[in-house]
Amino acid sequence: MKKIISIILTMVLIMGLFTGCGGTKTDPAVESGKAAAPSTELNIYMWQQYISDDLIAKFEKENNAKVNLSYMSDNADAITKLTAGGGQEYDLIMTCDAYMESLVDGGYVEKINFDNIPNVKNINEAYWTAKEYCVPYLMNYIYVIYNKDTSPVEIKSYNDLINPALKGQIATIDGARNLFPIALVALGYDPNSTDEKEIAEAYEWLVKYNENVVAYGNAEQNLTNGTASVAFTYDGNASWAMSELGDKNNLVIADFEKDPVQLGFDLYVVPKGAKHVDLAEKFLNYITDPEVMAANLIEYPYSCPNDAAVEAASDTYKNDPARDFDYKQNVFFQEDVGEAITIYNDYYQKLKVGE
Amino acid sequence: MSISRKQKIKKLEDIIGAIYSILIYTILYIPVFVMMAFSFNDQRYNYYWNGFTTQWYSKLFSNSAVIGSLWYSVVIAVLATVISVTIGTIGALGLKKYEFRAKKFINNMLYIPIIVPEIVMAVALLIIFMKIGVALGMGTILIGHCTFCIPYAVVTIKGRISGDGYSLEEASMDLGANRIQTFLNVTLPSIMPGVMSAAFLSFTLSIDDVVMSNMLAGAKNSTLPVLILSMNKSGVTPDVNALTTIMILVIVIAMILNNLIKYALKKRNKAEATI
Amino acid sequence: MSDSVVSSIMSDSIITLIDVEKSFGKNKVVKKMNIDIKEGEFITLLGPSGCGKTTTLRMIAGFEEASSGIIKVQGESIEDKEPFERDVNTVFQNYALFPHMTVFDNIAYGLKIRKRPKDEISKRVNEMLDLVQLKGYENRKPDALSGGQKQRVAIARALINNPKVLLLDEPLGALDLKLRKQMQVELKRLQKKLGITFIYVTHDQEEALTMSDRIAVMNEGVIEQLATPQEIYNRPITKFVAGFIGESNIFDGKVTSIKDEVLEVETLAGTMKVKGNGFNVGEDIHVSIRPEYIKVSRDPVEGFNLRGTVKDFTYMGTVVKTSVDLKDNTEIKYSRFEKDEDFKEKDSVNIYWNPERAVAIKASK
Repeated sequence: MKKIISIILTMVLIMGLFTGCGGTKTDPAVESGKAAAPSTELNIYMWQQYISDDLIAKFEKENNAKVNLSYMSDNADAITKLTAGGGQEYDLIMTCDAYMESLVDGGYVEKINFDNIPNVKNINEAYWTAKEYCVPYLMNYIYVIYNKDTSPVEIKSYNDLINPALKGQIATIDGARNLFPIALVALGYDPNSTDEKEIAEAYEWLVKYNENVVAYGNAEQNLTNGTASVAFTYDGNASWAMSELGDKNNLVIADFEKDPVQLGFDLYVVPKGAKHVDLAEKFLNYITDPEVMAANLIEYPYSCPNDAAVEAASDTYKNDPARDFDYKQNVFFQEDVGEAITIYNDYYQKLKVGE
Repeated sequence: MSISRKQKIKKLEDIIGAIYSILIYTILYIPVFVMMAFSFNDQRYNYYWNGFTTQWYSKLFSNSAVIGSLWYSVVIAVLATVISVTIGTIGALGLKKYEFRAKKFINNMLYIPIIVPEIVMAVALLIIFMKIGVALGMGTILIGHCTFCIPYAVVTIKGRISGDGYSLEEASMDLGANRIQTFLNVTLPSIMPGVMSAAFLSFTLSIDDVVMSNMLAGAKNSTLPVLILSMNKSGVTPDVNALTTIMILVIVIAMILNNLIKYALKKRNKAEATI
Repeated sequence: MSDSVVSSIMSDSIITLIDVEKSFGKNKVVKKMNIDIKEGEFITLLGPSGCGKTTTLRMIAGFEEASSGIIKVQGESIEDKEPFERDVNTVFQNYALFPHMTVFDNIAYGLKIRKRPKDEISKRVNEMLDLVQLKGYENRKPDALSGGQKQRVAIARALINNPKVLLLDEPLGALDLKLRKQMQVELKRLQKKLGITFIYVTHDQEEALTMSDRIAVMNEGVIEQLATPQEIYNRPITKFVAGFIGESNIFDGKVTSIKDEVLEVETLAGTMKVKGNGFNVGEDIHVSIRPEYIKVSRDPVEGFNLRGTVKDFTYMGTVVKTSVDLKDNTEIKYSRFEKDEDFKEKDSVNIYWNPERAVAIKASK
């Protein structure tokens, strides 16, 4: 008698541990989503504060559909969900160029039928890798700006950043794959090097760079309140900082003569198993429409690979000092470094721990 | 001078103790107070003080995303608490009061969901759900939360079950109570403090959780912590500060009420005892 | 089971155990137990820990199922009854009071479960509080009671359902000596007043001797002797009982001659005399003699040849205990109200006794 009770209790416990309880329901409407009737629902997984709510509302109204936006806190979130097979939950997922190669290789993303997205003709081919599988959305230059009044050094190359005169002056973005490329470029190597010797040298360079860093992240804040006089940051952040200062803007973009800057772009992919591809295509066509994107750029003034949209954009956007630099074509992209990523991570940790 | 050396040392110890406590509490609460202060800051970015405003509070109640995800979080936390405490109580009783062969094994297995990094559990669950074709949503988040709430609930409640076997239950049955009456009248009340702390713990773990919720959330809804975390890229908006301020105040008021009720009950008991 | 046992169950039998056995795995803790308990009797199961006395009690209460055999209450078999369906109540060793309930609620529990009317409950609880002299404590929680008070609450709680039988599992074990003595008297008084059957489990022989109408001395799952306290003390029928109850000097030997029911016994320590019947010459035998019946002399005594050396004296207040080493190195103890002035340490002495005072025990037992 007591034995039986104990066995039942144990079973319940094990069930609880390993499966939890409570069932989940599948939405019958979702099941039949690929039917001829147009989809009425679109699930997008992307960054928060990165697309105009008004434009989404307009799209919903035009297509008589509901757009569900859910937000990632890290690019890795999207990748984990995709690789675990969670792609079918979404119709569009935002990721960045650096991940495209492995996503395509892994078969996690669908080929996109561009016949249904005529507006992609507006996208500048130069910024478009893995073309069959994605539609670029917005992009970021990672460059150097500085306060022309307070910076002790006039910066013309990455090597200027390790000038001891800049001690405790730099606000910088973080991350192995953001920091190591500039060191590699400064040393004259391939920014996506897989050579351990070169990465080790880059590490030595970054140790000196670290000496000059006063803060990681929050470049706009640290520049406007004077904590830092130099920032290694995204053009979007630079734009915020410059507009914040308004007439008193004394921030200038470093006048690089030779060194290329990193360009990364955020793009949309259609995950394998997406249930509302028709609506996803409509959305991609909508967001690549020059007028629509131009409106989006008012709210989110980032660099944009959509040439027609930039053309149609507001004067404020076009005249944004944060995008007023002449080496826009001299860029490099983050590429998949394969196994070498562990070398990067090891040296990055060493850099962080300050060993 | 009549103060002995021992007394002097005692006094010094008191002072050091006080300083220590003040320091600890300062470190613990400064971020909270800063956060609360900034909920009244008249500036979009919380970099510096720009003047007093309550606009974020009115904005908060019109921010359907934040309110919606708060509601979503609360519903999940309540359900996860009920499920975890129910299973946890049964499990704890089974593990504490019955002898069976796999007991030790199961006891150790309990700690696996606690020890295994949450992200590992989350991804494992995600893969399982995707493999068996379960749509992500409240159900999956709930199951995810239960996987770590249940072991904590079992461990917490188990600690509250007295080690001397079934004597209370036997006494109850001896006096004519059947098994259900015994459970309700004796077993449950005697482990109630454990059940309550397991409930609080489960609720807190669930409503705090980011990793599991982030992995197992569907496309339509997400919990409040996930939403707040996703604001990281562009900066957390002050209406979130306003929300957390309200939440903290609710908790503080609840705690004060709880203590007042306890105090009143104690006083009443004392008064009765002296009759 | 034999008809003799069944026919011996008279109308006033309240609890009958017939061939009851209990095993935990391979370990048999109660073996072929037969006992017939009369209504209104105070019976004690006495034995060392692990002898099966508590298990027997728990089988009667219903917390353990007998592996085989029959347990009857008033002639009715109760094996299939759950603990809550049996008309017996238990006072637990560690009281097992419900910690979250007041004294009142603890005592009222049995009536509340039976959904008795409120006024009846409060009347009965007050009677019980009177009975155990705990008036005024009804609103205390068990934590705020002393050990003795807890014990009284446990007793009151068990008695409120008017059980036919009260089972007490070492109820005084946790109390200090003085309180234990006081509670012994009170329990006995209570039992007499209520007239219900008490089945009392203890390992304390003194407690058993003081309170019981009959004592069942148990060892290794078997009742060694079931008799009145006087019989148990004066006429133990097994070597175990002789050794367990009170202090005894026990010799192992062989009967060498029999004359008028007086046996002459040869042991390693020497020869001695004991009264007994049913023995044959050459049979193995145990001889038990209480310290207070031992006599000492300088000269040899007829029929005895127990020579020894006085080892030491222990003063125990009113009595003096003397140890004597016999020739086979066994130590024998005897007691006197005062020290024998005739003897001192290392004196050579002869031990003897009145053969009627010694107990002859069959070696097979």
